[in-house]
Amino acid sequence: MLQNRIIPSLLLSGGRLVKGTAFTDHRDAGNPPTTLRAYAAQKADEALLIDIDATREGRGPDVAAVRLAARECSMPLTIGGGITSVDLAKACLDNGADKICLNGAALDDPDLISACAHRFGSQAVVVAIDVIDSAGGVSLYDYRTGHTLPDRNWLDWLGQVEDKGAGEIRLMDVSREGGRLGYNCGLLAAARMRCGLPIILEGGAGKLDHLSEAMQQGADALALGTMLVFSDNNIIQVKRFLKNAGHPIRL
Amino acid sequence: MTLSIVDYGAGNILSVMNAFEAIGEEPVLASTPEALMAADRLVLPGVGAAAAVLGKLRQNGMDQALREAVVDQGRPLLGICVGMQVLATTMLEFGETAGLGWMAGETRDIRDLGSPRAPHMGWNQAECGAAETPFHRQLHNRSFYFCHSFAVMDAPEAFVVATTSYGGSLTAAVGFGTVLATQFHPEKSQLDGQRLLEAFVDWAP
Amino acid sequence: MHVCNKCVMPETSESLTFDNQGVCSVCRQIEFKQTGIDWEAKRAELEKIVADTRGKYDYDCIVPFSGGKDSTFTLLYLVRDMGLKPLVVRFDHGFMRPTLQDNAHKTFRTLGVDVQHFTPNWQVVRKLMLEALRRRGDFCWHCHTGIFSYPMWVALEKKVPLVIWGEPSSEYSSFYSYDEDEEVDERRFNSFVNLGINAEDMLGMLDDSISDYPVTERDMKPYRYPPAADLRKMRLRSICLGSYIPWDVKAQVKRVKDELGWVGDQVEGVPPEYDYEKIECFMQGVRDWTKYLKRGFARTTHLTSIDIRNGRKTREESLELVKDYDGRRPPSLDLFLRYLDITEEQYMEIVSQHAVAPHVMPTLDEVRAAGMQPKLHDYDKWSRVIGDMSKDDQAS
Repeated sequence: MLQNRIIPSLLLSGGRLVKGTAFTDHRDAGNPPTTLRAYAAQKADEALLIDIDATREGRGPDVAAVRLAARECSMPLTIGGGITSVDLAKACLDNGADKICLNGAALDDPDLISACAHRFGSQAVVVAIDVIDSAGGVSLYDYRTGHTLPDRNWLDWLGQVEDKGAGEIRLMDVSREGGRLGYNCGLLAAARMRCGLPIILEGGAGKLDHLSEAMQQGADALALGTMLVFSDNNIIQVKRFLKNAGHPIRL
Repeated sequence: MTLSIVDYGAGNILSVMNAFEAIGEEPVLASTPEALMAADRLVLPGVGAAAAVLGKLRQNGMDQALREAVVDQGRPLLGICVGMQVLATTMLEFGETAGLGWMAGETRDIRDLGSPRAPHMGWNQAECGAAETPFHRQLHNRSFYFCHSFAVMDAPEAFVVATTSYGGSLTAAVGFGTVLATQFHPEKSQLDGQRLLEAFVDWAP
Repeated sequence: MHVCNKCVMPETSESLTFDNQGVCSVCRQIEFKQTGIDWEAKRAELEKIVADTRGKYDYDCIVPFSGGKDSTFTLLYLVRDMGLKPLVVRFDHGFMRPTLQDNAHKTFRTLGVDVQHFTPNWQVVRKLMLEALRRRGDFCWHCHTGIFSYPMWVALEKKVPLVIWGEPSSEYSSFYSYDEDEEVDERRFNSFVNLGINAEDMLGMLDDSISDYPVTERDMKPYRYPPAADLRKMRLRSICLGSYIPWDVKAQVKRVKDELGWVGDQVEGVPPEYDYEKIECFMQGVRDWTKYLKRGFARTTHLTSIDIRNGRKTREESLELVKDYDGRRPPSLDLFLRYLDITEEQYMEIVSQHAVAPHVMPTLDEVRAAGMQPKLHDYDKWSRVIGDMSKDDQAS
C-alpha cells in the first residue's frame, strides 16, 4: 500500500541552508548538496528545498544550486521559491527538480497552478499554504509581507488550489515553526473536508510522538526542519519509530 | 559497454543520468537513431502525457530504431514510467492512441482500476509472484517511488513481473524478451532503485 | 520509559525499536547473528576479498586503529591469523590515555607493523567540539568523522584498495542489521556516523565563541569523506572484520591480553569488571555523561545489555549495576569545560536542548546531589593545554 513520507525541509539563503523559528532568527544549517547527501543516506523519502531569498530579491530560482542539489537526491526533490511562471518552473524541472512548489505566486495568480499542471502534470505541482492559527481562528499567511490575509479564507483557497490542478499541498502553521511543540494536527481534519489531495504537514515537530500523532490524524507526509537541524535526530530512526507505531513507512 | 539513455525530449534525463553515474556507470545520451543503434544497452525514460511522449518518440524514426535495436537485435532495454506505458498496444489517455505494440495491453486511468486517487504518487511496495524472474530479488517487497495516473493493464500474465497495491492491483513492472520496464522510478528510489539499476546493467538476457 | 524486556536498553536509544514482545531490535540482531549466519561461508568470503589485494600493493590493507580492544584484536587477527601486511592508520582524537598509548606501543612492536599517526589541528578540534555539542548534544563529531574519513584519504593516497575495520555497527545499534553486508562507505558515513553533518556543512556553522582561530576548507579535510567516485575508481573495499567472523568481545580481549600484553584500565562510570571498554579516550566519561543527561542511560546500560545478549548476565543484576553506575557526574567534565571555556551551567543549558522524550534531564542541583564519580588514576596526566597562552599560563 501507499506509504507515508518523511520529508526534510530545507531553506536556502545566500547559498547556504538556514533554519529558524517562525520565519525569523535564521542560523546557518549547512551546505545544500552535502546536507542532502546525508538525508538521502538517512533514507529521506523526498526533499523540499525552498529558496527564501528569491522573491525578496525579485528573481527566479538559482538553477545552478538546483542542479547541484538534485545530484545528491536519489529521492524526489521539490524546489520552491521565486517560481512565478511556467518558464521558471520548467527551468527547475530541467535542472533536476522532480516537483515545483508554488506559494506567493499562486496566491497572486491561481491560474499559474493550472498552467503548470497542464504543462508538467499535476504530480509535479505542489502548492505551499501557510496559515497562522490564533484565538481568532485560522488565517492565511503571506510570508512575503509577514502578515495574514484576512480577506481570504484558507479553506476556500485549499479548495481552489485543488480545482486548479495542484497535485499536492504543503500545509504549515507558521506560528508553530521551530517551536518543537508539535504539529497543528487540527488543520488536517478541516483540510480533509475541503480537499482530497495528499497533504504534507509542516511546522512544529519536536519529538517522535508528534510525528506519530500527525500521521494518526491523517497526514500523508511530514516535513521536518528543526528536529533534524538542531537536534540529534536521524531520519532512519524517525522512520523506524513510526513503522513500529504501526504506520505504513518505507524502511 | 555503452549505456545510452534515449533523449527524445520527453524524459527526465538528468535524474536518470545522475542515478547511473551514482552507481559508477558512464551513461551517454542517444538522440538520433544512429546513436541508439550504437548502444549496447538502452534506457527509455518518459514523463508526461503518454500520447505526447509517443508522438515525440515517433519523430525522426526513433521508435523504429528502438524496435530494431531491442526487439530485432536483442539489446537490453529498461523502460521507465511512461517509457513502459508506450510499449503497450493501446493508451487510453485523452482518447485512444496506439502504442508501440511491443506487448499486448492498454493503459487506463488508475481510478477505473480501483485506486482512490490519481496520481498514485509516493512510495509503494512491489509484489512479485512465485515465479523467479530475473529481477525477482531486486523487486519483491522492495519499495519504489511511483508517480503516475495511468497503468498498463491486460498485459500477458507471463510478462507481469511485479504488481503494487493502490486500491486495486496495478502493474508495477513487466519483463519480456530483453525488456525490463517499470511503472515506478528506479532512479528516484534510493537504494532499492540503485540495486535494480545495477542488476539491469549486469543483466545478460 | 520503555526498556527492552530482554536487555536493559531504553526507548531513548538512538536507533533501536521494540517488537511486539517488547524485545529490542539489537537483541534480535544478535539472535540472528548467533543462529542465522553461516560463519564458515563468511570466513571464506573474507579469504576471497583479501586474496584480491594480498601482495599486490605496498600494503595488503589499511587498518584504522585506536588501540582499544576492537582495533587491537582486528590488527592481531589480520597480521597473525591471516598473515597480512597492513598499514596501520591512527587518528588521534586528542584524548589518548597513557595506558592506551603503552598498549598501542607494545602492539606495534610485538606484531611488527608500519604505523601512520595523524593528529588534527587542535585549534580546529576545539571549535568543532563546541559546535557539535550545540547542534547534536554530541561533542565527538570530529572523532566520528575523522576516524572514518582520514583512513580513506590514506587509502586513496597510498593506492591500497582495502580498508578493514573491526565490529559492524549492527553489533550495538540498528542503523544496519546483520543480514546485510555492512560496507563502511560514504552511505554509512552519512547514514549515522557524521550525525547528519558533513565537513562542508560544519564549516559554515562554526563561529568565534571559543576563539577567533580562522577555520578554512583545507582544515576540514580530515573530516571530509573522499569523493565516492574516486574511491569507486580504485575499486576500494571497506569492510568490517566482524561481518566475516563472529564478534566475541570476551574471547577477543583474552587474546589481546595474552598475545600482546594488552592491559585494561579503569573507565569513568562503569563497574570495574569492564576494564576493557572504551579505555582509549579520557573524554569517554563526558561523552557518557552527556548521553545520560540527554537520553537517561549511559555506558553501564550498554555494557550489561551486551552481557545479557551473550548469556553472561541476568537482567536483574544488570538493572542493579545500572542504578549504581549510570548517572553520576564524571571528574573529566571539569577538563572538558576548560577546553571549551564554558561553565557547567552553560553546558547543561546546551545539552537540555537535546533531551530525548520521554526522558527528562536532571537539574544541576539534582546532579550535584547525586555526587561525583571518583577520579581515575591518570586524571592528572591528561593534557590541560588549551592552546591559548592567556589561559594556559594560569594554574590548571
